[in-house]
Amino acid sequence: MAIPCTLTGIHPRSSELIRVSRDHDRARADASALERGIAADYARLEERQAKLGFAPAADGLLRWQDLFRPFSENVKGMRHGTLTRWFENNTFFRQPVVENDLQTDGSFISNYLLHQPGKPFKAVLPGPYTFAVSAEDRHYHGLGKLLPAIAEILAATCRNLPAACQAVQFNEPAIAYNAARNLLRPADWEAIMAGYAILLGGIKAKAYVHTYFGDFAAFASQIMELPVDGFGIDLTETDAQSLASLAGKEAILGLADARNSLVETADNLASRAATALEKIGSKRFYLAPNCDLEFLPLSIAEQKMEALSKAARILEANHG
Amino acid sequence: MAEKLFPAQEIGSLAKPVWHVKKIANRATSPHDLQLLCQWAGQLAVSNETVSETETLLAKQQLTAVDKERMRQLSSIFVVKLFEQAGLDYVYNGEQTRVEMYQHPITYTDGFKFYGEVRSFDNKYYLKAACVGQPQLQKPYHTDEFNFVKTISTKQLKVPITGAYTLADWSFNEHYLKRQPHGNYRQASREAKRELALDLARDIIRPNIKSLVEAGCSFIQIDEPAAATHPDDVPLIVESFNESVKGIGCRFSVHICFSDYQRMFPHIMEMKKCGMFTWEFANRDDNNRAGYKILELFREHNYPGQIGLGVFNVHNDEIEQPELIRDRILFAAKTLGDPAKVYVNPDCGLRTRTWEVAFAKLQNMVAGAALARQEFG
Repeated sequence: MAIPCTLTGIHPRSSELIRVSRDHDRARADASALERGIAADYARLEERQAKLGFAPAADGLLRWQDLFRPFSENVKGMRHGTLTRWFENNTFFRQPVVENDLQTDGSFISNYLLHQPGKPFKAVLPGPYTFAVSAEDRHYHGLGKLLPAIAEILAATCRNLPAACQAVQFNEPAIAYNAARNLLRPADWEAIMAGYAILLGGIKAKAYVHTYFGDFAAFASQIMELPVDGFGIDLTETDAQSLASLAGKEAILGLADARNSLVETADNLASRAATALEKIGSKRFYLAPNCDLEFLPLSIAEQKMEALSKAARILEANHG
Repeated sequence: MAEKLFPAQEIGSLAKPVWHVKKIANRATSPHDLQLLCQWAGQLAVSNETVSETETLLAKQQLTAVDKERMRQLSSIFVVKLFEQAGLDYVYNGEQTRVEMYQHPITYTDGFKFYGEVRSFDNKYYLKAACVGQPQLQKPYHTDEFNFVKTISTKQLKVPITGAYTLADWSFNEHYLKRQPHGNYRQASREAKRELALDLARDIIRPNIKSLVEAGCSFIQIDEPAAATHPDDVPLIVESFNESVKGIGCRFSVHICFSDYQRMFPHIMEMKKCGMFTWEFANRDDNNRAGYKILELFREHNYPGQIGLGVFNVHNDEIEQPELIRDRILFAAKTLGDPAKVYVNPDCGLRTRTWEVAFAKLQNMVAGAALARQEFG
């Protein structure tokens, strides 16, 4: 059995792309130079994913400045506001500010996706709960109304994903972070359920909810109610021994710590994966970093990808 | 003599002039760069000798290490003049002699290895190092800089230095994590971080502070922009600050920015030697002074010290009008219940703004402080 790996978010940029992005900001490089830089990074990333068994390929959100920017730049009724800390990281995002009814046909997403025509790929999008609680709500006055509105714009976005998009992963760090700190109320879960009901209606691809920055065991029973194909688990924050069965759902095992440069050994990753799998019982699963690899320099991120790939081969061997 | 109300202070970095950046990187300067140099020299009344020496260095084909050090000093002269001309009461050199607030101290600390750039936001990146061995100070890395700056300014000096907690938080931690017993990864990471922060406080920051004080420094700002990043770490921030300043008599302020300040209370009241908290507020402000309401917590906790009030946003080019600055100052003075507790400064370092914008913002800050003083006769 081939065990795939997967990327879960924003990928670090090469020093060449960082340089040309800076130059572009300072009007020292034109748009075509920036495009060439992005294309070169994407080609490198795609090649590595193919070589290391990361499938379906993800684009590393190389065009995205943060998880919400394509939306705050394109959705009517929303703009981007102040720099805000991205959870407990030395990384910041422009907070989306919701000022009016949100409207979009979702077609803008094609300007941000990178994929080879016809080749299967995975799209990574913000989850509606994380989006809603990360935004400044000046219009809807409450999660109960804001979250469904955001789910609508995400659903419109998903309707614009090409047929080759085999999987859509919704990143929900806020679910994990808030649940682990007892900040998720029953009413929030109701809003989450309602939001995903809207969102999943328009998706033909497999849908995953990836959770990170918190202990999965703290919200496993609630999140299992979501009718998605699988869940991502941050195993740097979760004690694998505390996990329970995922009732046949797929799993994205967030094993490699994307926030520390210490590269895990393949044996360590494989052993931790085996422990988690024994508890969750998933037959189909992916080995992954716990979150976006953008918290690491590219060279370390690539070493972590290689370690994950080797761990997958160890697990394959052990499973016969 | 009692200090005037609302003294104005710098808070750290200022962009390096393009002639400095290019020449340090051994790139050629353009006629436009030289034109800017002369323009600012005129505006800031920089001496002919300084301008001439700068031009001589810029004309050299390749700079030696000594030349580069002198280039940084010449750049410092311009910046000190800029701060003085803007009307600040407390100045420094805009960190012209440092690569950047994280990279500079780490460069002088053994036990770290740089792997590459990591994104801060948008297209802004910083070089992030990993702690791969026991941190050891090569030599105090701010004293030469301070000794030079005190020869070029007649104003009071405040030296910004990066704090131990931030250095620990912004570094990857391999050395201490490897030493932890296997088991709960999260717990091991936390303990590894605590050990790193406290070792940095004792072995890196404290010797630097001691050396500065011995050189005559009387006001040090410890920059902890990573504070409140991890709510559970606030006690560690307090512990690492106290460890850093242990046994040293000096005036200390602590700069924190872009954080959830609520989480800092009440723990920061245990930073007994911190006489001033210098925070970013303007970035989060609105017409109702929402950005400054957090000051109520200082009053509630009977904080006896001063507040370095961030009165303008450092992430846009809007030149805030003096009246807006005045209103922010007056709101803070009223909230704290004592105008003498308020110092004014930018929200954070100005390195992302042009000199033109920074200078205009600083001038209006000083003008706004003057307007606020009028309210108190």
